[in-house]
Amino acid sequence: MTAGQIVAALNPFLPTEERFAGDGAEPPVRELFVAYERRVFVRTNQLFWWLLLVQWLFGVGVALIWSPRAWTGPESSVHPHVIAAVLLGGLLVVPPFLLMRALPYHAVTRHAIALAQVSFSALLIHLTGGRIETHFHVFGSLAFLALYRDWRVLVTATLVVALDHLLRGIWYPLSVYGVPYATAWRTVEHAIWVAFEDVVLIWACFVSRREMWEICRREEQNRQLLDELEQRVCDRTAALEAEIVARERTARELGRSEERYRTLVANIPIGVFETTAAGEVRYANPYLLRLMGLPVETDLAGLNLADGRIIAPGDRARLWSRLQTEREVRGFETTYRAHDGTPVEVVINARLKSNGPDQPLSSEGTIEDVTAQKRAQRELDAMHQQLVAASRQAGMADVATGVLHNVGNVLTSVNITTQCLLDRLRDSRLRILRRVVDTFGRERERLGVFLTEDPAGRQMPDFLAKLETHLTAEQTQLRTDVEGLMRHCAHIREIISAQQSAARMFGVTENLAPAQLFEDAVRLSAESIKRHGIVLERELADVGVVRADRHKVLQILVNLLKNAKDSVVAADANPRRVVVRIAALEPEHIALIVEDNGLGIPPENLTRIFRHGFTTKADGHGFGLHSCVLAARDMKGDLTVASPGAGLGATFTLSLPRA
Amino acid sequence: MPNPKAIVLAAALVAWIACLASAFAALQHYASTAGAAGTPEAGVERLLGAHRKPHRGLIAMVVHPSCPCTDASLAELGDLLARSNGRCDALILEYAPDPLPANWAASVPVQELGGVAVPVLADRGGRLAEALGAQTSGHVVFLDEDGRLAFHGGLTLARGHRGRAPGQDAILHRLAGQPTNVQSAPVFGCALEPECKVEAAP
Repeated sequence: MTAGQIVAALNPFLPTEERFAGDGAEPPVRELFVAYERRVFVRTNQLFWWLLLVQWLFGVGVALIWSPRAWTGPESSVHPHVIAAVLLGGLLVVPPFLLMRALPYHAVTRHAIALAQVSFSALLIHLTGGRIETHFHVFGSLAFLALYRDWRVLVTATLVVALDHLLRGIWYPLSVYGVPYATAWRTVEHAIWVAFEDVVLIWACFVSRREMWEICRREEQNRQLLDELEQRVCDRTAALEAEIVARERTARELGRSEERYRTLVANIPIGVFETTAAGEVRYANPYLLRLMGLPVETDLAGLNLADGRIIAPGDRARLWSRLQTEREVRGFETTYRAHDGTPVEVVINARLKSNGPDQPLSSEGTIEDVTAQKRAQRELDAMHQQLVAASRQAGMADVATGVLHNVGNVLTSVNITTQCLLDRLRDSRLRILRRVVDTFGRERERLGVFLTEDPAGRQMPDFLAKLETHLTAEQTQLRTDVEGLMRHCAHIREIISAQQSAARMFGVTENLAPAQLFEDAVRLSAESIKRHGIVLERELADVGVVRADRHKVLQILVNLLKNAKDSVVAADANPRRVVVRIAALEPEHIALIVEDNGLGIPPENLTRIFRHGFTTKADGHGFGLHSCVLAARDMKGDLTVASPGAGLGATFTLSLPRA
Repeated sequence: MPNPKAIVLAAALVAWIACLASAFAALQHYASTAGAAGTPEAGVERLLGAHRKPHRGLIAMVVHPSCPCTDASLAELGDLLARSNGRCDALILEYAPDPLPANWAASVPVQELGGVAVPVLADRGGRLAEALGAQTSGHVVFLDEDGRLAFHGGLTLARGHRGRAPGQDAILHRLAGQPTNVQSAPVFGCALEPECKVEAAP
């Protein structure tokens, strides 16, 4: 405790707020304590207001009863005690009353009250003739003053009592000690008895104030708890309000959603239903009713799907069986019979719904009218077949183009050979033989003479020998030409046979050996390759078989070989070189590669080369590679190209799925 | 700079305390102021002798029946008798004016004090009181066991205040045969006659 705090504690008039400054107490607790203390002060002030008033009246009463009048023989006057009780009592009461009103919390009020109270003790003792019993008023007064819980007030009261005793002991010892002469020890003795009570009361004050502090701390704690609680309540209330607002908003949205749902369900072009296992229809949206050929306002209670009028019993049993097994069925196709007997092809998506432990199972789901879709599908299938046929025809046309080209080439050779053969026959030496025959016919009569004597006849044997040599040579040449023709015809037959073989297998996916595919394609293009002096290199590794459409693959490979031939011819490469290669492109695919050293492809064209209508040829129409890549992708493969650049050749890679 | 209100308040408090001190001092001064006291006439022993029993002391007290101080005086007399161990009697002389005023109704309702029966004699016109030298209510005259005047004066310390007074001690000493120089004491009470001059106690 610092000196300042000691001084502050001893200063009876220091305001409570200043006394507690720096005491370490939390400001709210201090404020509560000050307020509590003020309540105590006001309450005790009120007590003393009444107590002083009662004592005043009591004193007047005592004076009036005990010593109402002072006598002088038969005459009397108002006794000075009555005057003292009224005036001195009033003097003791009025100033404290004023202070209570003006300065209820001020220490001066409490100390003035203490002074008045113990002074009342003196007055009452005097008015009661110094009765020793009245001295207990002093102790009672101290006890009352202790209600202020301010020990300084007790000190003031004690000091007043002690001072009164001291002064009386000095000037009027008889009035206070009952003896005419008293020592200072007598004052000390009386003071000790007062102090005896003071010790208890001051201790009680400290205890009481400590308890007040504790009460304030607890009140502060309670207030904080209440504040926290209130804050939590406020927060929770705000949260609840927000939640209520959110719920209201949600309810509105839910209402709108429900309305949308109703509208949607009512107007959705899909049937929505809920049925029981027994076939009772619990719910059917308007579309479903219309789908069943029923009016929208149909009473659902009269509908039962188990009677076989709408859905075939077998189909329904199958659907329920799957539902009970799988809990949910999607894409169940069946045919309803509408109310008017019209068959309706539908697709049902349904799931099993449990309505509670004791409730029967039901199913809910949708029914989609796919009659139009089925019809469209059938039409689409037919169209697809037509397209396939058209594609086949187009493909065959492509192949046929190559075939005819090759056949044409062969026919050109046939034509040349035939022309040579015709020329040879026209220029044959057989006509010379006819002249020899004519000469012999004319010289038949003198044939011997002619052969022996005629100069021309003598040369005839040599001439015939030479003619025979020439004719033999001609025969040999003709045989060679005919054999060439036969060979060309056989080649044509072979080409046609390959075409027929490919055409037969169109549209069928099968396991194919890539090497054989290349060989077939090369055979179809062999004449052209040979004629243009192209060196064809084969690098046909055995990396497995592919799963593809033979015709489409041949169509692609023939096209690639033709493009390679055109490229190397246009580039006038030396040598004109085309490589066909087979490689394992990746675990799932096999690559069929056609590489040339022809014109190559500029980078800007690499991404456009497969587009429909794109071509670099003067006579091209941009259909070949486009149809090739579509065919490749149709077989779950792909067709790609790579080229280092213009003039550096190109590499086309057909990837096909491994079988 | 002190707060003016505090100065006013302090001044008012000081004034209030001063007033209180003055009032209490005045009150105490009144209470401590003795009444007039006279000296018993000669022959008072003979006058009271008829009321004294042999070998016993006698205390004759003159009282004003309406005086508030009479109660304290009678109470002290009772105390004294109680402590006299039966060696002393008492006699109350109740003062009454002559003629009695119309509203005079007071009387001393005493029959015994300190366990001793106390006769009350009416002193009409205060003639006995005058003989006993009593001018103030509460005045006593004490005849010792031999019938001699041993003490006269008051038995209280102040007006209406009880308390062991020197007069009591003087009488008890006399009764106990102990020497004492106190032969008189101030009397605190109401004046018995209007013309009596109130003088300060010696």
